[in-house]
Amino acid sequence: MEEGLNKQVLKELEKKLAFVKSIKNLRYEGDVLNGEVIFNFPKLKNDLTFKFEILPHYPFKTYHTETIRFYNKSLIAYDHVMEDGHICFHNRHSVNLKEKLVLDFNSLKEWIENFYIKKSSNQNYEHLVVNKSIVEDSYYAFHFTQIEYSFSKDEYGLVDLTQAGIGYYNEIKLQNFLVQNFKNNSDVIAECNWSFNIKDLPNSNIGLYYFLENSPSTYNKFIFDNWLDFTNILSVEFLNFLNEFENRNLKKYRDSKIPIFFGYKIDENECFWQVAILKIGSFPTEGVPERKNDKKTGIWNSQLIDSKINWCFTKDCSYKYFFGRGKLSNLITEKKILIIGVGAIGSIVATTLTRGGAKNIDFIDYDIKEPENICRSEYSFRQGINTKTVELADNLTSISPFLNINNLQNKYFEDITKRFINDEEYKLGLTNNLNAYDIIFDCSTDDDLMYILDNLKIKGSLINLSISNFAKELICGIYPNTYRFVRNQFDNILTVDDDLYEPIGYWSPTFKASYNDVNLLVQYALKHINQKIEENKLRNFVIEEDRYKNILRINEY
Amino acid sequence: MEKSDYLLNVLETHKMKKIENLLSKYKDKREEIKNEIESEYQNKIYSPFNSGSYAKHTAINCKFDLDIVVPFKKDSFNTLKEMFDNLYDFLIDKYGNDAIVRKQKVSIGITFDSDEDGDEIDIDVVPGRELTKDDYPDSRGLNLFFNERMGLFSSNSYIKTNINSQIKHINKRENERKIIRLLKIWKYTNNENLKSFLIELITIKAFDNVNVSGNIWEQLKSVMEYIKDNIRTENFTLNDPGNSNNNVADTLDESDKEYFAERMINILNRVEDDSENLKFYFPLNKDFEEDEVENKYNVKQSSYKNSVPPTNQRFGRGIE
Repeated sequence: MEEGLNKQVLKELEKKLAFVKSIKNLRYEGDVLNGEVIFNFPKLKNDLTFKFEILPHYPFKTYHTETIRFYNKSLIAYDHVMEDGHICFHNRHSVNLKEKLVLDFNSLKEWIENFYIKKSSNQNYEHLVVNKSIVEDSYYAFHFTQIEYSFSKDEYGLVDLTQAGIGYYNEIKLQNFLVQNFKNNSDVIAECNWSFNIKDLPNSNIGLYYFLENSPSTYNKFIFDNWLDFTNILSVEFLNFLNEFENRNLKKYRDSKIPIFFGYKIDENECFWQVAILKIGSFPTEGVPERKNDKKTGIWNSQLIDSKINWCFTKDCSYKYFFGRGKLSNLITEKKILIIGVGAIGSIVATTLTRGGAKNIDFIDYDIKEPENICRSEYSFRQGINTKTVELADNLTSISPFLNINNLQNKYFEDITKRFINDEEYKLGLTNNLNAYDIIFDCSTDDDLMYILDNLKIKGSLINLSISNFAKELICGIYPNTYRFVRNQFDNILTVDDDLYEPIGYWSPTFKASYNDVNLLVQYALKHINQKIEENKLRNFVIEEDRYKNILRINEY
Repeated sequence: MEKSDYLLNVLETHKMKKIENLLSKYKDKREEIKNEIESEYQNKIYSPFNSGSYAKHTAINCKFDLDIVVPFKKDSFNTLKEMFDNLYDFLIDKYGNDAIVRKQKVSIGITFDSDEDGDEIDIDVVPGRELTKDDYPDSRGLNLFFNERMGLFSSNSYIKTNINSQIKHINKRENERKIIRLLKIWKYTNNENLKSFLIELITIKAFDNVNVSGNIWEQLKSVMEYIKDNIRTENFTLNDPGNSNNNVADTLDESDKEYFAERMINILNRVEDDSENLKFYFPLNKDFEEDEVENKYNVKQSSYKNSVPPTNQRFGRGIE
């Protein structure tokens, strides 16, 4: 074990680093080592001093945070300096204490060169530093998207909100809300770009909004903390509106909490919202008589008072940020998708497409979800016995606020299709309905339905997915020729194991495979489909597991 | 599976003799159209003659063409476009009420409404004009009009060809025809977008250039290997027997050639993995398959004692 952190190590460091003039005032406060470092090197005109503290965890991070910190409150106007003077920079990793000290002091030197000497400024938008408040017993969070409307300076109005879930943040209750729309009086001027399934949720609360020219902050970094900071920023007209709003609602809604949204542009096309919580009866305003030439005019205006602002969490959940870390091809996500059969494979396909950013998925299934289905599909126990399509729609719209589930096709689809398929009029109607979709996943494992669909004139992509017993293979048939391809695999190519699982109590043997078995193949298949759709080269394929080589192999046809 | 026996069975189920009734309807219609054209154009044309896959003996019963070539005399029309449009107008006038008549790349397609048996008759009429006055009886050369762009050929351009020579090119080449039919079965049943004429020429070229011998699978394999090895090579040509200046390989661009080669590689690999895959690429025509089902599942011969799910069942949803 190497030598631990002590004053001697810091003194040695002082000798080692040419750009460090001195390290002094070393002292322990509890188990935290404090000190001061003076930087001096040719590009730096004068000495630059930082206080530092080193936690006992050093050189390790804790909760993804560095355990060495440098402070200089006089540098607050520079980039990457926090309100308490703490300098933020990218530290490099090392588990060797002496090496880590060298790296960290060098990183601070780089910060000095880039942001103190060259006065570089980060071009990317960075969130303001906001200390969120607990209001009574809760934190609050508001989720919005960019909207197709350009607000003007000093524009104000109302916001419709829908209550989302209640979470916990540092063991404190956190109430989540979705922003539905912005209103001027009672007219909706802009809606957030949620799916219509989200838009259809009832509005539960209202808020107020005010659009600013600039962010409500000092140094463009630290959000205002007192309502007086807004003096001369909020218009008198708006303050009077606040006063009227409060008076109008005082009797009925005293002490009710009202969020107030402050919007500002972060670039040419996008704006951000910060939200503060007000309480009716305690708005941070007071009436003052208007004066002209030192004489009261008889008119009263509102002005802000000295009062702390209670800020909330806000999240821009726009599609591009929601799926910013990774998504499927636009050639899938922008398309209308139908999934026929939402059992083990179909429900995994639906969930993956949803998490991959799909915007329109419909599905068809006649079946009921029962507890024994849950172990290898995307359903949950707590909802009990339930119609698969109903539960899946609920699950998927909980995952993505951008997924439109247009209709849950009825349970008679399969029956009617087979009963009337020789009726030309019905066939034409069925074909037209299916041709409303760009991509159809047939996960029904229904050979008859596969045959019927294969014989229709389908315009979009029809993709048939099924697996063999023990999930040894996944077979993907692509229209046209789905039926011939898939049946040839099962009838002539695959070695099929007939050791089936027989559920207790009734005779309906089924295949043996776990969620892990099924999901592995379906995910690989969807990855392949995603890539081949991009290349416009989607063909029939089989995924098979080679257990000797520990690989999954795709054979295209 | 014995690959050759299987492929011979595939050819058997795709023979034209399996559809004699339908074929005679086609022939009757073809004669009727020829007669109408002859009485309309009289001295403006030489005798129309038969072409298409049926005339070349490369037809398969799920997809075949009975074409009529109409050789117009040099002075019949000022331009090839006029010739093409005039014939189209005539056919619309004659058959527009009973058929869909449409302009195609070099021909005019006539699809007659279904008859009482539900059969649709589909005949293509190809107009061509002799190259110089009175040249046709000797040379049999014709200029064809391109109504649409095809490969390197733009629309409204024309090409010199000799359909008689094209038909003769494949005459008495029975082995080649079998392979051509198999590749056409693959093309048709797998919706591959390749010209049949190209398949014909490249198959014949393979037989002429490499050793294609053995049983029918070995022959098919050699031809597919020839295609994959040669189609992408620089300066690869497929000369039109009707016009040696016309390189039919030019109707494919680089990505088409790449695709054709990839397909050949894919079939060879998958059949190498498992010969049963032949059944996907070269399926039997189920309509004319010998009825084996009764023997296979006749209850009295069955060894099934209990009702169990078939072992070839697919999974992924349903009763679980």
